Amino acid sequence: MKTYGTTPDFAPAKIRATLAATDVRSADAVTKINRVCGATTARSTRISTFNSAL
Amino acid sequence: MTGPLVPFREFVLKVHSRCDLACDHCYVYEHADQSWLTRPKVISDEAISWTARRLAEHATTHALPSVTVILHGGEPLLAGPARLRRVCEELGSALNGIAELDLRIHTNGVQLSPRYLDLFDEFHVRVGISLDGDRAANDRHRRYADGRSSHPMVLRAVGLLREERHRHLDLGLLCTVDIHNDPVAVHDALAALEPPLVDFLLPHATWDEPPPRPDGSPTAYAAWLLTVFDRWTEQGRPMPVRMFASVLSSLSGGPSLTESLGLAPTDLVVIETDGTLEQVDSLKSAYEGAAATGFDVFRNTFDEAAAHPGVRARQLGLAGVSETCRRCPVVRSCGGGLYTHRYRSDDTSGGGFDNPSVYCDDLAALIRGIEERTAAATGSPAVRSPDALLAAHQDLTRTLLAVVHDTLGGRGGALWDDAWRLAAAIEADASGADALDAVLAHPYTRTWLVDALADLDAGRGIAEPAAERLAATVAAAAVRARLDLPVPVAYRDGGLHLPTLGTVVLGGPGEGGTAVVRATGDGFLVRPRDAAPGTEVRIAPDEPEGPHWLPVRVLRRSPAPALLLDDLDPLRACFDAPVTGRLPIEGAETWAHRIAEAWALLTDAVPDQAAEAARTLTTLTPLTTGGAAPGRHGPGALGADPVTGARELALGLLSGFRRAKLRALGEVTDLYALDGTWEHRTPWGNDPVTFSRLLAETYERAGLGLYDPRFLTGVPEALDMIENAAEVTVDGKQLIAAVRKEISGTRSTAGKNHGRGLSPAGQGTNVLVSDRKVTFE
Repeated sequence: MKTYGTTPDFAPAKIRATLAATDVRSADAVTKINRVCGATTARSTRISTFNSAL
Repeated sequence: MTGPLVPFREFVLKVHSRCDLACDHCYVYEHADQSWLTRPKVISDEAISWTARRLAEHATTHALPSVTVILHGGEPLLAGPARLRRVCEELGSALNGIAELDLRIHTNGVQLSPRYLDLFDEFHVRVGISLDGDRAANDRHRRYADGRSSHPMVLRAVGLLREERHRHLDLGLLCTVDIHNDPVAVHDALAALEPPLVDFLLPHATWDEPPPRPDGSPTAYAAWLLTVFDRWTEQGRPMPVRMFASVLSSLSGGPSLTESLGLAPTDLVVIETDGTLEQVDSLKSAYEGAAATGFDVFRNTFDEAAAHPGVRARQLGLAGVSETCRRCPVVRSCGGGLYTHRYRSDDTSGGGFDNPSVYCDDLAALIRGIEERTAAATGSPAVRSPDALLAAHQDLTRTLLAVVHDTLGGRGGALWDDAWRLAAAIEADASGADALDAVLAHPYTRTWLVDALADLDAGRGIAEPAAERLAATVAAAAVRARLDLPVPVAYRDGGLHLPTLGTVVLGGPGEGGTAVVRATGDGFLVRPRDAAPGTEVRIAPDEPEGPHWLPVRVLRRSPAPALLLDDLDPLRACFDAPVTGRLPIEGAETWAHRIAEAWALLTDAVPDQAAEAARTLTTLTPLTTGGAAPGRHGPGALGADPVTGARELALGLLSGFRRAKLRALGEVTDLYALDGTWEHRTPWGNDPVTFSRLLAETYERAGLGLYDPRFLTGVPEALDMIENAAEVTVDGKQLIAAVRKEISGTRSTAGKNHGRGLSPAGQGTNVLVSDRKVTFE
């Protein structure tokens, strides 16, 4: 009995944005990439942490 | 104190040491340190020049892409426009071409005028203003020396900043908490001004000078802040609040966002008007001279100040907080509180900062309160739903591909550029988009992209096979969608591999080149570019294996789901054990038989687990040795040794699926943070383990325990340990709750699986794959 074929079918998720429109510079994208490629220890240079100022 | 020096990135430059208000809660003038009396009122030309020089030197030494300079006081506007212009010019000039300069000023606002704002616009100096809320709240402390209210002047300043031409300079409002004020009125007054950011500051206090607690409650400040939090939530979170954002970030495994919370090392230094370098400003609340370093910009580098023991003490993370704090589950969020608030003069060591914060109870209650209020809403859906987990991974893979393309910046070669353009054309078609997603969902797509990005980040450039994979991916999508789109694809060693479909054989070993793949209404054509017309290879749907075509076979034997038996993909060698070569047809039949047998056992013994695995597992890759295991790939794959028996394979599949799922979760959400900072002891082992190991072993045991309850020994205790650990995040707790639900009642039905399903007596069946040393017998 043949137990295999040649038409695999995954269950893909729906596309949310085209590849070209993907925002690769957003903090969200950086967070996603860091989880699988090793997180950077550098914090964003745009965040001020000084308690007595913003 | 050991560890590398942490460079400063944030510089608080005191440009004027006096103030035009007389706020009675000000740490500069009203607390222990009175050094302001001896400072020059205005920063000198010499101090400005040396500060600029030291900044450039520091940025160069540490290759800092950006430095933040906060002009502060006293009241910095008292320095006057001319002096502030000089500061901006000198700093900008010194850092030009070295690092980006992020200039800010924090003011009480009473002198802010269009003249200042024009200057700030010229140098892009962004402005933060102190405002304690509504008029009654603000006037409680923020008054002139003669008692007059500053409130109208501050509102006028905020109004100026809100004007369209100045709005880009608006940083937001800083509010010091006084629990006598109405928290809702304070929130609403701030929100009404539509600031881009707000932060609430606990009034500076120490164990020597504790904060006022009118009703004696040890959590009065938490209660006040949580009332603000509730109002803020009720109003739809009208503006970001730094304190709340920091707690929410750390609860989810992210960084803290303010020096007053979290374990991040300090990277800020203060330059006084006389050029002396001081530690964090608020230390002035502790005792006379507490912030001093003995250094100044004229004689010392910033590196010398960064190595000062007082600065280093605030860079030690967990080692820098008290013993009580190190054992506290909320320390990752509170970080022991602001360093200043830990001070007491009469502790056993003779005075110091090795104590919990004087706001300890408040901080714990605030963090717990925010967690209780938000856990359900902030948790990642990927933890709750297998479909959401797959969707998150699809999004991750697409983001990775887009990042690789962006990082290549046109250096991927003609084949890559063509493939990227064709991918856009495929995405424009609905069936094409689905087909492209299906190929991108293949687990080895992840292997390709992660390795490619690692090479690019390391400056090695992209390897040729990696650069060629995009074209093969796009061609496979076009074929699956039956789109009539010619796609140029490279082939090597005579083989052109289309992920998820198979390998077209175009030549022998060593032969390579480019071929064009083109879908037809009935299969697809492949024609090497240098081949004569009419000599193309034609592959039909369900084309059997032949001299020109090696299909990726699909195992289809009930009750197992349809699974790719991928023994062809060049990227499949990403497991600890070596992969096999192409299996003969009989080998594939054996696989189908074994998987079906094993799946029948799983369906009988752990129907929920089997059902979830059936929905998420897509690909099996034969290994030469070892049990079932995940490798370095996206979700959906397992490697397995085909010669194992059905019983071993079933337990191996369950174990492998469990480990693959935990890994998949960890790749799209943060289940824990600061792994390795604390040590844990599992109920089943003697050696200390990291949190990640504790979680992995517990999760795997819980899954196997559904099959054989003996695996559950110690699991409830381990779940308690995980839930009370400092490392676990909101999503980690959500996962633990799901595991508790999974195993609930298992013990009462412990006999259910005896006599059927797997016998735990077989070799290795009660030993975790992740820890072969652990046995029950």
